Amino acid sequence: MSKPASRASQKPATSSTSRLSNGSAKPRDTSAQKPNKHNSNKKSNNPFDEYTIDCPPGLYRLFLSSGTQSNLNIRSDEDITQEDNFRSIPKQAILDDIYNKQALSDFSPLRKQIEEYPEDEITLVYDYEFQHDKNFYICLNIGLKELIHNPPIVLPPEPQKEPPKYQPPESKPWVSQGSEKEIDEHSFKDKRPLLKFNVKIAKESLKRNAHFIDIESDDKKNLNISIQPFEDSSFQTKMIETEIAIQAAPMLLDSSAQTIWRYPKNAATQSEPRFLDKKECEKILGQEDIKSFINQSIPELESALQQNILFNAFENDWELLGDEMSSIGGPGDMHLKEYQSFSDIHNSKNKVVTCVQWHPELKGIVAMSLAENFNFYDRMDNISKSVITPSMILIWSFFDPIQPKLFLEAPDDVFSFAFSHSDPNIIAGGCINGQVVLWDISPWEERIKNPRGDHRDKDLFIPGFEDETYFQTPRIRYCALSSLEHGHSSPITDIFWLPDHFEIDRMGFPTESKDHKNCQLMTAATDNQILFWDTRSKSANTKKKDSDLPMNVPDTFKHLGNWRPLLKVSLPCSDPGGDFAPTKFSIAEKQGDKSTIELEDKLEIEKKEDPNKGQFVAGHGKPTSGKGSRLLQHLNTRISVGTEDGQYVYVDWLPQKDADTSKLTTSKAEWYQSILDGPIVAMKRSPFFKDIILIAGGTGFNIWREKVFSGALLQTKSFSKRICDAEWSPTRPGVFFIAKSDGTVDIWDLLDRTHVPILTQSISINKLTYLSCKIVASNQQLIALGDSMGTLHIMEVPWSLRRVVSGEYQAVKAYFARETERRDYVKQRWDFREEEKREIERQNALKAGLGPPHIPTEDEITFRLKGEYNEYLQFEAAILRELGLRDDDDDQPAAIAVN
Amino acid sequence: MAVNEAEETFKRLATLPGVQGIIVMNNDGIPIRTTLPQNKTALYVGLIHGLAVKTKSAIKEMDHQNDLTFIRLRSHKDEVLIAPDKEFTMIVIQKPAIQ
Repeated sequence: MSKPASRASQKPATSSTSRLSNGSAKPRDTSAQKPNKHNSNKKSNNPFDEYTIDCPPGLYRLFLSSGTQSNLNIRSDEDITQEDNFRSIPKQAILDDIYNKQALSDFSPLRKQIEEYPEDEITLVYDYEFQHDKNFYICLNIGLKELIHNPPIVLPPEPQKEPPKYQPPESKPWVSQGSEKEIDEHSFKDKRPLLKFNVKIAKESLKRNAHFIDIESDDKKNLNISIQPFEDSSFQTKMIETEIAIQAAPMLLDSSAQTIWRYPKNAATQSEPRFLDKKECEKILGQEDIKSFINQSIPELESALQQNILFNAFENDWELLGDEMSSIGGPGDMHLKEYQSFSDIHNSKNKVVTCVQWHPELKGIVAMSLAENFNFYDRMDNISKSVITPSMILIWSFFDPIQPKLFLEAPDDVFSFAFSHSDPNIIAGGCINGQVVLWDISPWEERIKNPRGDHRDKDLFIPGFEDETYFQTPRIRYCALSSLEHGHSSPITDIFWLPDHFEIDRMGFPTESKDHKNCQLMTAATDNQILFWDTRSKSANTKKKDSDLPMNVPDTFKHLGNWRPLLKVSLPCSDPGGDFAPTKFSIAEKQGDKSTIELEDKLEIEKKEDPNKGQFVAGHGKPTSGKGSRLLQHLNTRISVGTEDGQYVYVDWLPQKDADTSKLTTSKAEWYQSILDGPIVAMKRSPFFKDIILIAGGTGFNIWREKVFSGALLQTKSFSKRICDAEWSPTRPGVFFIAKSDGTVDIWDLLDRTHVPILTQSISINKLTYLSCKIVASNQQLIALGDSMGTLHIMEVPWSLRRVVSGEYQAVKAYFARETERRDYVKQRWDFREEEKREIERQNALKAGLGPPHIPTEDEITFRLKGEYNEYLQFEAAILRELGLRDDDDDQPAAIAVN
Repeated sequence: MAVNEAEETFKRLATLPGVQGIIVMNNDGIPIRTTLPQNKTALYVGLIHGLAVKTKSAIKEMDHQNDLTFIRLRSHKDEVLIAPDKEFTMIVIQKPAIQ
């Protein structure tokens, strides 16, 4: 029971009230409303409640004043204490108290109950905790009284018994239970000793003469009985149940091995080169014998060196001969052969191929993105339909032209995408709504690596356990999506992974990247912005958000969350016509080309080297900052951008502090010019020359050299059809391909003719939209062309267009150098003409009588000024003499030499 | 002075077109004078020392009276000229002007 428990445990905790209420029938609801009880006490209908709060029936709370306490000898903390807290008071004493004091008695509210109490002694309990303003309980229930007087003993908790220790069984002497009798009965024993007999046949009985006769074998005489074989049924019973005993025993095997160590041999050796210090070297150098050595060997070396300069003795004439002959190939050699064509029946109808990319590592895998072939108004009309049909990137394998290997789902039509070079399982794409999407296809890597995983692999599966989803092309959802507010607000037209040897920080400064992974992206969209994105998580401890990615989506990019760009490059323009809306861009750094890093290394070495060569140089290549990744100062941070209006803009991505607002914004474009009559569709750097860019758009294309701003190196006249894409050949420096809107491809060769293409070939009846080249093998080069009806054509480049012609690189380099000089010359002539024009104007002005007669040159001006000054000095001296302040024979002020 | 003359001839060699580096080493394979950075010098010296010794012994074995005077090592990108002597060896690396 609760009340005795409170006494026994002696804890002055406030939870004793709750213990009181345990098991109480009446005040169960009062215990639930315990905090409110004080407030509701005043309003309760029953004024008696204050005596029965939290009490079981029969127990009442009372307040006994000290006078009453001393009368009854139950003074708190003197006669009656917390531990020893109950007393049996004679009922009569209480009744006397009531009669004497009437209404003033402490017991008066309970008068009736006390009078009704059957026994002679009433138990009073002292409440040490003074709950509810009452310090005593009066017990008017016999059952409770018994409990108070004889509280059930709370046993101390049993001590934790230790688990019994295992004792192995001891052997005891055998006690017979009568079983040996049974065994005796069933066992076989000799009842008597065995007898031995020796039997012999008597010799006389053996000596009998045998007498043989012949008998016919007749059945009538029954002389013989034939016993036929018959089946004995007793052998037919099958033993279905037998009792056998089995025992398992471990097999014990002994085995050993021994190596044969025929002879001791060094597995690895490490050596260090020896060096002499400076003083030793100088001592040796000072000796005589080195002088004679040098004098001896130098002539021979010099002659060898000079021979090499004059004549290349190791030229292979045979090889060089062959090249000249083969360039006279007929037109039949120069065709692009159709290799394969991909079209998906279900998904590619009426869709435009917006971008085609080859897989950087695997052969035979190509990806293309599809978009609806709508203009803006049609798109608005059909917006409900396009929301349902998902936009996709298809990944094809050459081995299966009917069914794509993978579908990558995107939230909206994808207009450009790119594989990451360091990890080709990561694909970044830009959508029409301005979002950047990331996919991770590493769980499905097997599907594209294994070329023939399709219906031909039926026997891979056990019948009945087939995985139907294996034969369907999986649809892969995107892993990460950029934030809509902070990203682009118009279709992303170009996307580019930053090369893995450098990375930029928030201020745009390029630093050397140590882990060599493509982790940053650049995107351009027609909302006049180029954004830099970083795919790594910003903080080391990523927030553990509940993964709300659906199943099957890898969580490589879960840390990106609400993905914001790292750096914004805006392209403002003060000219009328608005800001620049970039369609394509190109930066000087290329994946795999670490020349800027090597240049940094070299410059550092040169800085540390002593001025006179011939000394040892130590400690090159150390980073300038202590942290390990150094700032690349010589990296060209400018972007060449092509815009929607056919302009070529050259802008620096490093943000500068704006003078007016002192905020970091992109500075004004270093240079821009309108060069083509339509939006720029391609801006490609030549794989052989870092600063030559092929720019195509509208109805023509140009070739520019970066930083030569006076004009294009090559400009073509307008064609009849618009150009859709352009690409350099990966092996021949002077060859490039142009895709046009009438479905033809033009092949241009700069060394052959520069005013017309050397070959025009029609590929498809539809408009071609994208062109991409790839070297698949040393003897195979393929071009992927996407068209506006969702078909991807793969063409093979013929040998003549793929093989490098001897000296081509030099010839093309010389051509570009010539063109650059021509631009310089053109610039000079312009300047000259400007001068001439000004001269003519001045002459005209002179004739009209307005201009000055003679514009003095700088020398003439100086001469005149010096003459004037000397005159002034003499004048000053004369005046001073007149004034008498200076005598005649004082030294004259030095006249300035005039020559 | 011997040192100055040596310096003069060195500089003259270095100015010839195509010369990328000159190393003088003693016959123990320790470089004494070099125009290349230390790591490259160590590389060349270590490898060419072995080559020179082996070539010399090969020629001597074929004919006892014969001796090695000069080694010319032509590769795709450059040419290495090795002039051995009793105590020292001179190595010159040249990038030929003609492709």
